[in-house]
Amino acid sequence: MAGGMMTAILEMQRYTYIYPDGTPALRDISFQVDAGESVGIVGPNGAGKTTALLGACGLIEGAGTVRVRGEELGRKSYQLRSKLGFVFQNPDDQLFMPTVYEDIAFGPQNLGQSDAEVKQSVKQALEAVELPGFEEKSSHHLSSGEKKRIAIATVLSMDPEILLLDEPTTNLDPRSRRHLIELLGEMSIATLIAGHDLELLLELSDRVLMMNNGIFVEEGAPDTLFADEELMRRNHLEVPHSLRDSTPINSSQEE
Amino acid sequence: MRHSYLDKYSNRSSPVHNLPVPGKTIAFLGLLLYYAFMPVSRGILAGNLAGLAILFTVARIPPLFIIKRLFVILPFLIFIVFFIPLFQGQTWRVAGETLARAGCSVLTLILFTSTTRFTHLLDSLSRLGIPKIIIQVLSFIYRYFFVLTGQLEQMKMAVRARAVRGKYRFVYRGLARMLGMLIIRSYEQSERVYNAMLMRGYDGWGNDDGNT
Repeated sequence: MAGGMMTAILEMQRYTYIYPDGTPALRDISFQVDAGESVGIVGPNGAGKTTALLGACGLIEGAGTVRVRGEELGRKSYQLRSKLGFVFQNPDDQLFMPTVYEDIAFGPQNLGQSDAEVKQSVKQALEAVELPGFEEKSSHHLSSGEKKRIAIATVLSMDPEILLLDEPTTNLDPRSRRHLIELLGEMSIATLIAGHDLELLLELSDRVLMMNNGIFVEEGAPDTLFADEELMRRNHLEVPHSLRDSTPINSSQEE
Repeated sequence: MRHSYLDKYSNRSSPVHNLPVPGKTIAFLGLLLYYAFMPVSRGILAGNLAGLAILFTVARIPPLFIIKRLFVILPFLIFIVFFIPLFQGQTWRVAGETLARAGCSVLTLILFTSTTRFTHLLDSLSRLGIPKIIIQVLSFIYRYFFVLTGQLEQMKMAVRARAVRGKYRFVYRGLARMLGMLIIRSYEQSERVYNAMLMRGYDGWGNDDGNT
């Protein structure tokens, strides 16, 4: 079953992860993300969304296989892992260098780029997140929205094939959130977004995986899945406002 | 919130600020060595302090800031100095000399750190041949100092918000637990940071060279 002609950028097969205390977090899950595709993972707190992302990046040791472009991802696949751009929920985890420049340069430097190439990568990444000229700033002086965008720039500079985002809109004000959604919408690389921001997933995702208790319970287009009231309630979620066209709340507001 | 604490004055410009950092670093290390061996007399001490005072004035570092900084370090110094005469064969004179040497060193340290950007300092250290891994650790300390003090501030606020009667009683009882919590949090944070480094191709350079 060694993948030779697969188009999947990221593929997780029969992946199981059990916490050190014995609680199963992921139970035999499989999914794949194809080139250019945007996939969402939704589910209640503790469903296993973040763990699934960590597993997909080979940051935790579970049973099963993870393949990136058909190549199996191991613990020591340092170079292969750089094809996966993981944007952590908390930017403070991701921005660990004194200045923005050094943070964005960290990946390219590890990939062995020359100083001139690194400089170019940083410049391009900052332009991609629309924060040119931020090189010399310190991370602790940035706003939450800026931090999030710089965090994305730190992985974009490595030219990844897929972005994995964990709750990308946490702590963002509406304008920063809108900005982020537009930014992500313009990107052509594949994305895997885990979170509760259903409106964001409605806008960005081609396909959504619904997760509960460590398994995928449903899969489909976001607008059909999220409109299924019974399914949403069963999985501790709510039908987003934009899909509730004729609910009593809306009509009472109009009157 | 008080994020500028560490580099409050280091981003400014003055003849002292603008000295080339590698030269400044070497001069600083040289001075520390000198203080360790200088003969202590009133004249020499006065001369050194006058020199430092001139440099502080040129760099426009306010005296109050220097005093505040001194108070952070002095308690440790005095504690050590106080115990010196208790050792066999040591006198108060030795204690006084130690205080003078340490005092000069601390003042020079304050001058150096408040006129040098941390990132420039790291840069010059690595040019002086300090191993990359040590530079990395120092930069982490600098970066996460702000994150951890932020968390401590938040915890303090959370405690204060719930301490309805006698805020201090509650605060001190919770202090140990708060510090414990901070250690656990920083441990978890370090794990997440390590993951973030792995995601960006970090393979532990410094341990086995040859890679990348």
